[in-house]
Amino acid sequence: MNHTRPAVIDLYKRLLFAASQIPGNPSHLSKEKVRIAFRKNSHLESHEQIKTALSRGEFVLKEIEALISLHKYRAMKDRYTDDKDF
Amino acid sequence: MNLLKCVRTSRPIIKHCVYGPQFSSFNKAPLLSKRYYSTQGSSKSLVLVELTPTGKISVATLASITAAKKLNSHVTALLLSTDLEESHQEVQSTEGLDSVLVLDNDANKNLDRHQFNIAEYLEPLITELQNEKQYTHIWAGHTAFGKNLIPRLAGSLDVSPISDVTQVHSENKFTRLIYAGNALSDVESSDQLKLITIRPTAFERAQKTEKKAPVDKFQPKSSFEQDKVPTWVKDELSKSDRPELGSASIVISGGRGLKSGENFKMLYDLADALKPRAAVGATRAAVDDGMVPNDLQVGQTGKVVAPELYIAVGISGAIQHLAGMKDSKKIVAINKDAEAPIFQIADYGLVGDLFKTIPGLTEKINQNK
Repeated sequence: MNHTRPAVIDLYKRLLFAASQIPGNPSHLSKEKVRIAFRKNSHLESHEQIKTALSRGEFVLKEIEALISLHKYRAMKDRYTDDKDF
Repeated sequence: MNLLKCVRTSRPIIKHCVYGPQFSSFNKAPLLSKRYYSTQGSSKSLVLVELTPTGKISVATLASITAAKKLNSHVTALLLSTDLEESHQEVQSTEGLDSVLVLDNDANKNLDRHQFNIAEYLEPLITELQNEKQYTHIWAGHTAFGKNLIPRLAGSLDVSPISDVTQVHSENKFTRLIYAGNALSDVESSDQLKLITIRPTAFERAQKTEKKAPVDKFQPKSSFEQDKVPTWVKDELSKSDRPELGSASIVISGGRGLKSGENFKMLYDLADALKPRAAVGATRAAVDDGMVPNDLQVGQTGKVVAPELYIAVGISGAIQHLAGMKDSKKIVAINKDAEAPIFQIADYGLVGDLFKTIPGLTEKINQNK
């Protein structure tokens, strides 16, 4: 029954790391959100439900990663293109 | 070779090789490909001529002719409309054509010219032509016309179409863009017939020439019941004196936060107040909800914009939308949810109810004029 546990912990850690990278927000607040989200689903028992929650988590992680890379892209563009007069 | 990934499909029709964008040899053909050019005359190309509403030969068609000519093949242009003497002349005197084929069908005579842009109508005729003449390549531009017709032809001729080609390497090897233009894919086709749409901007336009290509006529035998084929009703273009979304220096986009199509009027008012006048865009969510027509859509599947100033109103910031505007110089976000992702990439953010802030902003701008 416990064989999704490593996957959940892995996702949790990756989300914590990604949350700390979100630009703008103080990282402890973002991390707290991850904790809350996981605690909300901590009662899940059935394999199917856990799988669904895991894939949802993966999706959120992908969104966060895309957002971070987009933020970096904008920062680089801002730094290395010279027309700042607008 | 700068090969990152090579995928072979289970059906050995097309071989893909995907290159990363950093290795892109987008504008220069590899040296190797020269070798293929020596196979002169072994291929037979058919270019489907697309006419503009005014009866001129379209840019996409001129580019298709250039692309077809890269194979040193015998290039035939298929003119679908019979009644336009003017377009005949124009097509005939285009450089690179070896012959012009005109569809000559009594049933065609009295039809509206636009009828010849309908794929359901053309597909049986071109299929018949192909079965008779056995071309090796059929080319069209990657426009609404080509994107509509080529897949349909591919279905009836049972070949795999190759779309949005940007480079022609040899008779069966092409480069095309994949993943919304983020990677290049080398495609090798083993089909007898290659159905290709080309990206019009990737090839030069064929020039005018004094020499006129000879005209042949083709009489299709296949007849079909008129009432089963869609007919052209009318052409309705949304005309506006506003700047075009793709080239405007200020773009104001609205999302689901605007709640209804009428509320987009606020954005139009703001757009008119600004100087230079702004273009109005929308997110996919707003388009899918039917608030605005889909030509306003900004994002991965819509228009990609890069204005000086981008104002996102009531947009939470789905990644697909952000990808369509990430090259904007300055991004301003107005949203009532302070945690919306759009604020992470916006240069200026305003947390507030857009139904108050937008009219207020418009008023302020008008006062300062």
